[in-house]
Amino acid sequence: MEEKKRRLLTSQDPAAQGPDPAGASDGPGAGESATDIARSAGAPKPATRVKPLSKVSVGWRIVVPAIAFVILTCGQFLNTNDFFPLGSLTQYATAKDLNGTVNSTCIEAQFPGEDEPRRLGFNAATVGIERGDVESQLDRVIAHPELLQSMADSYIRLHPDEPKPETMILCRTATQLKNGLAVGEPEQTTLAKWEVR
Amino acid sequence: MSSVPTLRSTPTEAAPTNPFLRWFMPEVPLARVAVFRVFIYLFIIIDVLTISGDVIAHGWTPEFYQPLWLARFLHIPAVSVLGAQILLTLIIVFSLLAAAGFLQRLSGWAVALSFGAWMFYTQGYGYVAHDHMALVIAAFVLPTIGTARFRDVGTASARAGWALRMVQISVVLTYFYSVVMKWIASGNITHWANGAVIIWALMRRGAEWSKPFLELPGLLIAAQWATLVFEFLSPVVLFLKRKWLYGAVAFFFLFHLMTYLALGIHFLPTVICWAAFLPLEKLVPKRFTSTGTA
Repeated sequence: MEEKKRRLLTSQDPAAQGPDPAGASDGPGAGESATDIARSAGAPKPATRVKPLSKVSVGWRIVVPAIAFVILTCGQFLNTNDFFPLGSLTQYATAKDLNGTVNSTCIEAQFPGEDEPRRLGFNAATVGIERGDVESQLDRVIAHPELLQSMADSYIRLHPDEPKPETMILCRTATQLKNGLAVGEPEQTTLAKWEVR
Repeated sequence: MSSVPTLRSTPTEAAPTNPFLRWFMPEVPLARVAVFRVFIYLFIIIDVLTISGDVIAHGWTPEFYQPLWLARFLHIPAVSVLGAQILLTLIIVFSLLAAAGFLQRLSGWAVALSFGAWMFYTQGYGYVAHDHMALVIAAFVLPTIGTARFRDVGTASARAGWALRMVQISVVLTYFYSVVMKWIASGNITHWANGAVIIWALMRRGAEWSKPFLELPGLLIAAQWATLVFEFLSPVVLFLKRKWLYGAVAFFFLFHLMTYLALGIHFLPTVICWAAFLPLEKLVPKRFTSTGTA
C-alpha cells in the first residue's frame, strides 16, 4: 500500500524512479515517508526531481562511521577512555561484591579555630574539581599530595569571604556490605594530607 | 537549484538503491532536521552552562589536566579561567546562530569545533562520562546536511537521513556497548547482574527517598538484570516503527527519569538525542508548511 501510494505520488518524473524512495518509509524512526508527512501537513505535492548522492558523498558517509565504529569497539576491548567521544563505556561497568565494601572518596579541610576538619563538597563549585575526576586519578593524587594545594587554591578563590584552610585532607569512607546490606557504620581513612601554603 | 524558496522547487536527493544503504542513509524530511537542530543546539547551551559547566572551575585546577588522546595529539593545553569563559561565550553565540538556522553549515561547524574543545576540557580531568557520545556526534554530523528549513516538510534528504541515523546508532551503542563493557570489566556478566552496583550507586549518591531500597537488595539485583536486558536489546530500536518505536523511546525516557530521581543521574545529553528517532517535522506549525514559500 505504501509502495502504491509512493508510485502515485512520484511517478510524474522519470528521474524519480531511479533511487527507491521506499527508503523514506524506513526513515529514522518515524516510519512515515516525507511524502506522507507533506500530505498530512497540507504541503504542496513534494518535489519529484531527484539528485542522487554522488559516489564520494556516499563513500565518506560509509567510511567515516566505519572507522569510528572500529575505534569505539577497540575502546571497549582496550578499556580506554582516551578516544573520547569513542572511548569505553565504563560508567557502572565494574561488578561490585554483595559482601564487599562501598568506598567513597571525600575531601575535608581544617580551618583555623576549628577543632575538627570540616567536610567539603567534593565538586567543581567548591574545590574546582569533581569527585569523579579525582577518583579517576586517585593513585596519582595520593602519590602527589601537593595536588591538594590546587584544590585549596580553588576553594580560596571560589570562597573569597571564607577563612583560608590550613590543611587539606583527602579521605575515604568505606561501608561494609553483607549480602548486599550495609553492616555497621562507615569507616573513614585518610588517603593524603597537605599543609596549605 | 532555483533561488525561489518553494517546496515544489526544492530538489529531493535520492537515497541509494542498495537495501543496506537505503537503511543507512534513508530519505527523511529536511524539516525534521530543522527541528532536531533547534533541540540539539539549544541543549548544547544548557549543557555547557550546567551539566558540563565544570570547565571554568577546571581553569583553577590545571594540575589535574589529563588530556585525552586527540587533545594530546593537537597539543591542546590545560584551560585557563579566561580561556574557558571565552570558549563558553563562543559556544553560546554559535549555538544560537545555528539553532536559528543562520549560515547553517558555518555556524554548525563553529559549534562542533568549539563544543568539541569544551568536551576536551570537561572530560580531560580524569573522569570521562559516556553520556555525551551521541551529543558530540550530533554536533559533528548536523553541519554535513546543509540547509534545512522548517518549511521543508516535503523535501526528503538522504544526507539528513544519514546524519539522523548516525545519531540514532550512537544512542543505541551508548547502551549496547555499556553491556559489552560490563561483560569485559566483570569477566562474567552474571557477576555484574548479581552484584551490588546499584547498592553501591545508591550509597554513594542516592536520593533520600531511594535509601529504603537499600533494604531490598533482591529488588535491586532484579533491576540490574532488567537493565542488562534492555541495554542489550537497545539496537532493536533502530528497526522499530510507529507505536513500537514511540513506546521504546518513552521507555528509555522513563528509565532515565527514574535514575535521575533515585541517583541524580539524568543522562540528558543522550536523552535529547533520542529525538532523532521521532517525526519532529510534525511539530512544525502548518502555516509554515502549507504555502510552500518562506
